[in-house]
Amino acid sequence: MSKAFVPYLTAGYPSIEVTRALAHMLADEGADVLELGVPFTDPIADGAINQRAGQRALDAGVTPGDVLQLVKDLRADGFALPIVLFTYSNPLLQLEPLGGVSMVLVTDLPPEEAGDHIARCRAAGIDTVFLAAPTTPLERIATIAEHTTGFLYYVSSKGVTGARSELPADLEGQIERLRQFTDLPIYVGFGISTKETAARVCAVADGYVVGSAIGRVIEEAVEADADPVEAARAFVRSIDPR
Amino acid sequence: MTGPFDEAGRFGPYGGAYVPETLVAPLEELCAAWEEVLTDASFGRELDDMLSEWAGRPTPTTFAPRLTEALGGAQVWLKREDLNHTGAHKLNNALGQALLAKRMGKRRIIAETGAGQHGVATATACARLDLDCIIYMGEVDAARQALNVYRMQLLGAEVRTVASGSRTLKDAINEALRDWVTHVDDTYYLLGSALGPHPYPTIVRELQSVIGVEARAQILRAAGRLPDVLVACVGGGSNAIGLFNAFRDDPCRMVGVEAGGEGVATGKHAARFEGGSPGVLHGTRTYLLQDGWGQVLETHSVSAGLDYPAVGPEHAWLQDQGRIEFTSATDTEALAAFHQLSELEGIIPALESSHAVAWALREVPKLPSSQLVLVNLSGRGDKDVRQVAAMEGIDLG
Repeated sequence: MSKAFVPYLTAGYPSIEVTRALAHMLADEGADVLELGVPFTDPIADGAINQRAGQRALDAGVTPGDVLQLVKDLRADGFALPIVLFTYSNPLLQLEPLGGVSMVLVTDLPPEEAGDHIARCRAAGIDTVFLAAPTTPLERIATIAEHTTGFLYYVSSKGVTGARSELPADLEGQIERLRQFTDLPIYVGFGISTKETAARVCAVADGYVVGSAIGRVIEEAVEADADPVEAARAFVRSIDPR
Repeated sequence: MTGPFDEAGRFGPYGGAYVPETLVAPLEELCAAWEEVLTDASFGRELDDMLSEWAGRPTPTTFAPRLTEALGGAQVWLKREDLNHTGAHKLNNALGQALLAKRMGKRRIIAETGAGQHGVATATACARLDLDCIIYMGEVDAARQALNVYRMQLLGAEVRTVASGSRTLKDAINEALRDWVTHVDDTYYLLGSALGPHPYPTIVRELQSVIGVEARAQILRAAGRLPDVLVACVGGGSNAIGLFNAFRDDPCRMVGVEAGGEGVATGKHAARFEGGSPGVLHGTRTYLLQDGWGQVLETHSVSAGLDYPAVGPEHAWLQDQGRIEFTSATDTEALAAFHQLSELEGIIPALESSHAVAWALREVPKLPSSQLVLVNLSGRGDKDVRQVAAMEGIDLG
């Protein structure tokens, strides 16, 4: 099975239009799934880069409704990749219908609290992605695997989103542990920023998620008055291990 | 098996544990540790001994004769948490949780603080128990409570100021949660109010319940009967739930006073019940101030300790059931109460507690003299003197 590249974009940074262009560029560059982050005022699971991008989008007036409109516009453009809405519990409560969205991942919603969310997504034919983490005990993995559809997201490291120089030593063992509980693809995110880390993930998992590292390139391009789409294109090519 | 998703963590439709997956296991560990100390008499003894020998408990319940005379209505009594070590009720919780952390083998303590009272209490407990202490505090709060920043540093804590979002208490909690998720193995998050994911609202309520347990016995002894009305300010709601909990089955009115800021109609306030709606923030489902898209709104209050967009989940449930009446007091009313209690009773109240006193100034004149009103004086106002002087144009140099 070929490995999946799963990029993450904070929707609305630097603008909804640029996010739209970035999405198309990522599809051209071989992305398999697109994660779109909904800007939220209190992103407790995010590191500094995604926090800044979300805050700037909010400051520019971007709403979760604009993000849903972006999804619709992408579909109207013919954008065919699965789109994962990456969000927090509170803005999600106000969002519906989720037209054009393929999957929803809620960073602060464990399956035990997700009854309403799961029922709503099942009724709408939308997948519910849940996360497993290095701290997840074995007995909980079965619960998570039971409720996740689409794919299983493995959080590589303890901590918030953000580029790291290396991944934990026991990553391979952790992925093997998850395999006992699910036949779904396992994508690994949090901290992947180089071709080496992406390759290490692809050797054991089914795909790699890159978020903050792309966000940093976008931010640097914006601040240097350069084209964020071309800067991000060069970056995702440079780290693609496939 | 106990855990963060237990029914015990739910208050009707409120509460729960809305947290990133990485925090589920540490919350399970905390639930188990808490359950263990509840049945371990040596923990209760150690805590009680420290509260009495080191923190100065019990605090008195004081009749306020001049205030009562000036208001010409019900008799006003004060529960004197201002006399607790560090000058507020916050130490009751900080000490209990620090002892718990020590038993769990966690040596690195992190906490958030708004007014700085919880930060000072945590730093104080950590100094006494030889634990490392890091306090997160919003930049805005650190500027208006500079004295408390220095107090925490004197006590050996590291204060990290938070420059994101509204740079107040909610952003300090965001940053503390990010720290915790990154350092779960050796770190204990010592949450300061009756909010956050289960089991925190329950742990904080139980550790603060000493306020009401003492007050109930004291007023029965001194006045020969139960109070008719209990009043407390409500930010997260720990001093309020700490007072109310012991009176839950008594026929007492319970009044929670939120920060009305410049007036609820102006939008610059922290009155979650009057101006908010149910949602999810910082791991719990409760009332919060938010826009139509679920974005959390910035709050305003003269009091940093009440300047928070959500309220403890148990308060939300007790409000829905009609057990607690919630109302608000404006900045102006709180400042007037700050002065009046100082002049009439020789007690300078914290600006937070001044909101509860403000309710008494407004409502006590309407109540018959046969009634007893017990106001929780949750903290003393020394920390606020410089701020109040500046607001009144007085230069203290």
